Amino acid sequence: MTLANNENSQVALRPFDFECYGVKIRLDGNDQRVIDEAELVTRKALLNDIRPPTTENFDTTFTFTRDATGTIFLSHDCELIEYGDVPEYFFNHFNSLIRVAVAERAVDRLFIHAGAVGWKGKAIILPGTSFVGKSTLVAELVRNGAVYYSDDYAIFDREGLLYPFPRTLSMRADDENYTRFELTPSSLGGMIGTEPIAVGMVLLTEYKPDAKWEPQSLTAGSGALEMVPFTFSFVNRPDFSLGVLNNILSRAIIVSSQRGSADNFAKTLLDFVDKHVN
Amino acid sequence: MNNPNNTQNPMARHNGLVVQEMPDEVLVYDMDTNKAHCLNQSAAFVWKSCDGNNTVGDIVRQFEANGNGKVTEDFVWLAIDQLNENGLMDSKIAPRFEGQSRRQVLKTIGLASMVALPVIASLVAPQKALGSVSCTCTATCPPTGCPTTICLAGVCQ
Repeated sequence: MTLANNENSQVALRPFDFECYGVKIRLDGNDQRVIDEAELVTRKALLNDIRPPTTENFDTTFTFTRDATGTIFLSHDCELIEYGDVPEYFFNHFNSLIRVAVAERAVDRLFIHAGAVGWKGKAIILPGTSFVGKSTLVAELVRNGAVYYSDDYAIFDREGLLYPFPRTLSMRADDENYTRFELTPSSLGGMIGTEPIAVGMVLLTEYKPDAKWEPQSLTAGSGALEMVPFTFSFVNRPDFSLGVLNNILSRAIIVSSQRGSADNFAKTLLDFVDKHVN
Repeated sequence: MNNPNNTQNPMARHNGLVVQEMPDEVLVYDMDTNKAHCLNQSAAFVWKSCDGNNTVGDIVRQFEANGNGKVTEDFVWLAIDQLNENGLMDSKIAPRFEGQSRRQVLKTIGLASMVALPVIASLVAPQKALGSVSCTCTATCPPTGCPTTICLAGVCQ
């Protein structure tokens, strides 16, 4: 990816304003090409589920400033948060930042850092940070017939129902650089969820080589406590977040265990769900 | 056990807290300390009973009358001590079991009780992911605030 300098700096700059899940965001800056690239990244990051803002009272603003050397500086609400001179890396990171910005402020929706699939009409939720194997396990569950909802951000309404956020699965190769690559659900032979569904199981797990599946049941309260670190809007809106967590967890089983490799574990998990989730 | 606080009427804190009832438990988020607490049924009952009017003896009687099982005043004090340690009490409470290890206390009260001991689990809630942190890196990443803590190609990605 390369970004040429603006050829005509006299042309008025056009910010990109949009609304997503009720959050009104402005992307502006001193270089139209950078703003345009940021718009493309934003549309992809948010599955193009955006619309023009209803007002110009923005909840948050990202400002891109490109200097004479080509380095791009990114400020979030006037605070410098990022800079870089390799656009590919810079915008990869921005892809995450723009989703976080929406996740932290979404109106009437709760975003949880989690993979999510549907199985026989109920959702299996896999909360966790990056690098615990969420996407790998989600991919393997989809290969085994589960319906794809999300590999990274699980989205819930006030009642605790899960909604699809079916980005292409963001995988990492098992090499020294954890090289990223993407998978589509269809390449896994899977289907994408379209309807909101209730959660049947929350699984707190991470991959460890040679780990055994030793499921421990958690209470709803303990499960909620475990999920707080993965709940984006928790500090902004604790009352809303706790209410949704209660609605999710009071109807689900909550299980904790380490797991071994996803290809062996996926079928074990689905069998477990068949036995323990109505 | 001698109890210098027997005459106190413990008072639970309510300001600055967000409370969520869960099945059999109560979740409390302390906006001042940014900590979330999960109170099990025993701890939650004692906390709710600390209204500034009830004595510890009153709470014992209410606990039993509620069908939760037979408990001692030490049982209630164990809950109050934990609530106090976690900043969930309004009134200043002198530690009841000072000088004793938690293990000793739990053993003493646990052996005398058929009821689940009061337990409070806590964690610090993460701050906003989008803060003033820079996520560019040379080798290491900050523990929070970036998409990951792994530095790849100059970015915590």
